[in-house]
Amino acid sequence: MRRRKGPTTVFALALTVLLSACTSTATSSDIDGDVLVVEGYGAEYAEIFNEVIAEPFKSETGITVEYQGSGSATQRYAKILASRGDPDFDLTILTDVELYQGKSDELLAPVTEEDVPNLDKQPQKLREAAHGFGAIQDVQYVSLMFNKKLFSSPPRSWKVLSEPKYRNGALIFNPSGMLGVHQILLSADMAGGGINDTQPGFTQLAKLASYAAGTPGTSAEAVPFMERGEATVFPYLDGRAAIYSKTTDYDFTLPKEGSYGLLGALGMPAESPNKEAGYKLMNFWLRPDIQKQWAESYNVGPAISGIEFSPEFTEKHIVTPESLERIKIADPGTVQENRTDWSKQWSESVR
Amino acid sequence: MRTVLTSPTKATSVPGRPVPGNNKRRSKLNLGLPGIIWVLAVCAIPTAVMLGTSFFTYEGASVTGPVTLENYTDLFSDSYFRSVLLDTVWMAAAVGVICLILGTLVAHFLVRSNSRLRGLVILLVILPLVSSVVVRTYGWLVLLENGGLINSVAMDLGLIDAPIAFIGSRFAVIIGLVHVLLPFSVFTIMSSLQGVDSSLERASRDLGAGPVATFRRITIPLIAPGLISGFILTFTISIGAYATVAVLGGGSLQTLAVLVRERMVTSLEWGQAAAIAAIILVIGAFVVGLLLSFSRKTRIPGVSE
Repeated sequence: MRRRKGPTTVFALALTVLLSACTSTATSSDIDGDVLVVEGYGAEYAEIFNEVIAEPFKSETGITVEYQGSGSATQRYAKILASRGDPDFDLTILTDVELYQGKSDELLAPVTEEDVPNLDKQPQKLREAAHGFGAIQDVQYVSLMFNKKLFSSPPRSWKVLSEPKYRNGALIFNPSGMLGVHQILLSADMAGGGINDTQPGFTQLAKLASYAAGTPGTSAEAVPFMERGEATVFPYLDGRAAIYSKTTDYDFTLPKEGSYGLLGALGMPAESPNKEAGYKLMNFWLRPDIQKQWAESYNVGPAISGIEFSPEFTEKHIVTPESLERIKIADPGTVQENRTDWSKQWSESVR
Repeated sequence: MRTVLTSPTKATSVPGRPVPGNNKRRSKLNLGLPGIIWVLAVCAIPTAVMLGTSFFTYEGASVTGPVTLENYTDLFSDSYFRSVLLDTVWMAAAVGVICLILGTLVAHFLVRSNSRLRGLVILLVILPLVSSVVVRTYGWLVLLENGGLINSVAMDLGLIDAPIAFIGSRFAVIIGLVHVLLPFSVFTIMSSLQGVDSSLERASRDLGAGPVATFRRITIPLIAPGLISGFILTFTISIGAYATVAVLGGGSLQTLAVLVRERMVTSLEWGQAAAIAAIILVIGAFVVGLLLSFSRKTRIPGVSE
């Protein structure tokens, strides 16, 4: 008697679909050999990365860089955490906060001067911020973005955010992103508090919330407010601020009180099988000529000392050791420890 | 001709031959097996893992300490979490009730009317299902934002002096969710309404009841199971909705689903994220159980669902 094959075939098909759904989209050929998988930000970041980093790197070393643009640094670190240091990429773009977390969780590979010789060109402040578990590759700072139509000369203080003339149209960023965290810290600083006493900052934000034009979660969400000319003054990272200062009626400045820095960082998952290639890419990115190109293309400060920039660029970005001293690096341990509480307090303040 | 129904004779087993009843059962099991495996793999096992995770505390990716209720006690002792919980349930209930009312009216029109507009209305009801939830939600963003169509028209007509801040309000989120979920409500109520004999409604009218009284006293009790199913669907989907809240909530409106994301990705508190997800599951299951038991108690004898 012939056996009916129907149910068996259906079962086999379902099992195949199930197994294919459970496997990663990355194949072994993606990760091994001469291919280095890098995950970072999308949009213009991906374009600049491919042009300034990936293509020249391949020409010099023969290593192909496969770039995956998706999500934020926190999302990428969550992937490393979920895979216990073995995600489907070899190297990723993080910030100094995730490097600190990676060190605590022992999920990032250590990075020494022996692995990445160009680290010796970095200012001590930036080397310390990497905690030995990654490499800082650029320096951004929280600038004060303002509508040029409302100011005859650039505002000089963060206090302008709470001035009656400008508070209608201020933006308050959600602390789910680091820009929001930095705004809380700036508000606390301005109100006499600080990173260990943020309550005065939340009081300020609560007052501002009834006038604010919006509460964006990311810097991209602030763009429509600029395009429509609704925003008056708000904190914004200098990289994107430089782009929109050319396409909208807005400009940016570093206020006299100084600001907070956001350090772009390269982190390598602890279980990455391509560590050698990863270290080579880190070293390549920290080379003076590549640093200059990257800084000018992405409108950020370099992560190594001794590079010459135009006076216009030097005026707007963190380029010199003196300007680096004007920005504070928020202690990542304190940030991580308090982030949930700050999110709660922020939500209660702005709703 | 008289047909006599007899009970099927018991299958007798012949040595060396398969028993027909056993074969049938095995064949049914074989057919159902892929489905069972699929449900286990994509639903039951992840849910069990999530529930398990909620009873542990984490330090990075490592579990610290024994099984504990700490995640739950921490959440329920936090007034902020309790307010988000109430807000979420309130919004989900509002979406469920609005979908119920609109869904009943639309379904009644589609089933009972002979209007030529029925085709158009069906198309309008189906439309939200053929586009992505994110696209639909961004559509509402374009309409509701400060410089959006609604505010612009209202300001041009002199109805308002300054734009109304819809984005970030519960109102915007409820509107967005109702738009996305209305088809679920309409179709479940329609299927109930199609099973109701329209002669019952005509009889009520013949006996002197007006259209409203007939709808209230005859139609609604008969379609109650469909109403309950529609509410269950829309409520349970809304309580865990993320995309609509994230976009139309403007970053300032918090719901349980938004909190899960925040604890999972930003503050990396996996135990708490799993506990919040489990709470969403329990609320959904509780409401389903409650309404199904109510449905059984109010079932009209002789009326099929």
